[in-house]
Amino acid sequence: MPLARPERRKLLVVGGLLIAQFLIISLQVPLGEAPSVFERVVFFVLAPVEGLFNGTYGLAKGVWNRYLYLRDVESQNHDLRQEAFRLRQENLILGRGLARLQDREAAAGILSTVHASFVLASAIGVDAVNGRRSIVIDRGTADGLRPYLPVVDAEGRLVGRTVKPLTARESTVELMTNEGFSVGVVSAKSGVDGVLSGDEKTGLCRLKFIPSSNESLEEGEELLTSGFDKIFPAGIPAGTITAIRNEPLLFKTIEVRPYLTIRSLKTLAVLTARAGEKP
Amino acid sequence: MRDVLHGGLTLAAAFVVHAVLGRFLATTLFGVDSFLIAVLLFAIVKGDLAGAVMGAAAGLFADAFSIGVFGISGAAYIGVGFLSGWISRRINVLGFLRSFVFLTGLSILAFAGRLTLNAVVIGEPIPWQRGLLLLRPVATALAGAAAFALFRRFRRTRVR
Repeated sequence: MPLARPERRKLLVVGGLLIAQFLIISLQVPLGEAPSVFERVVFFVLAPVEGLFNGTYGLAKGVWNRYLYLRDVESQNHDLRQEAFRLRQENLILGRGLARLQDREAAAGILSTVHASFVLASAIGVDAVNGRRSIVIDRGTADGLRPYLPVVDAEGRLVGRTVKPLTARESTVELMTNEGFSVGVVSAKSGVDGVLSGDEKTGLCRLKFIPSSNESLEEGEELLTSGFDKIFPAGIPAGTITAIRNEPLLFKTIEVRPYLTIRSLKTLAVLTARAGEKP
Repeated sequence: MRDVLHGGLTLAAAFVVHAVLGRFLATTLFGVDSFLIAVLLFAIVKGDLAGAVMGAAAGLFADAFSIGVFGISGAAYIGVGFLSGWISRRINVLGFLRSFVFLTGLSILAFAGRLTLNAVVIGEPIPWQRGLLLLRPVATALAGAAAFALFRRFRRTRVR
């Protein structure tokens, strides 16, 4: 039975919309990770609104905490927490840097860059499709951020890296649990190096390219960034090995539990300078 | 013209909810797809064609706030937007429980559509997140049914 005219019109419109979406997908796939112009425009226009909500919330919270609830104590506490965070980061970076240093001159070089080498940030938004992929933070290009900067949590442990799109006040952070994420790592105990990738299927990570013949890795070993990828500085704790499976393949299947937890996204630090690089 | 304005307002409301929830949910694992709720409710109120158009628009917005492939959510939302409008004209979905069941079915369909497209286009595996993935359509449907009940109450008050 032929369709009535309004029904035919509806189907044509829906078909047209679907074809348009498939065209968009076809145009996007060759771009890979790079966002399309529309995506960039939407992010540029709407990401500040997320920041505005964050700001409004912060303002209301500030009024309550500073003038109604434990006046002054909260702000002192906040400052002390920030200071403790800075000192912890400083200590961590110095400790790792000194361990690798050969002489006092090189130590002085790192010390001079420590204070300006990171920017504190908070998560203000979560990926609209999958919360394990990315977050939006409240710092942007105006704070010196650019794509591919390492992001760590308050304990100095790996969270992910900044990716496009970025605005003056907001940035997207690709989480280490995202399928496309990769970082060079080395095991703290046995010194075996490989590539750590996200695994959205389990919400964990996988250590790749470890030959099946390798017997030195053990469960429970901690993995640190190796610095070989030239994006992440060496020595950032990334996670611990939870399972090693020997399958009849060229490489082992190694499951890694990342230190990244959803709770750790509250206070973040973006490392604006790589090891030995001026901020 | 009025429908376009309503669509724009619904999309804006979805974005506001996404921004507000993002502020809190960034530190939790619980997720509600506000853009999908906007598509489903708009389709129930305005009909199948309006639902499909809203699906295309809301999908593009959702993808702009995700680092996945741009256009995948739009394609999935067009289908469920149209179906939501079409089915809701044929069965009663007005009560809270009825709308919850209806929205759960369509949310599952939308999530399944998006995951299938992801698997076909970029070979991405299904992110089960130890079963928590299954919680998302249910949470979305629950929030959608609550929003629909509120909307109906608001409209009844206005009519009086």
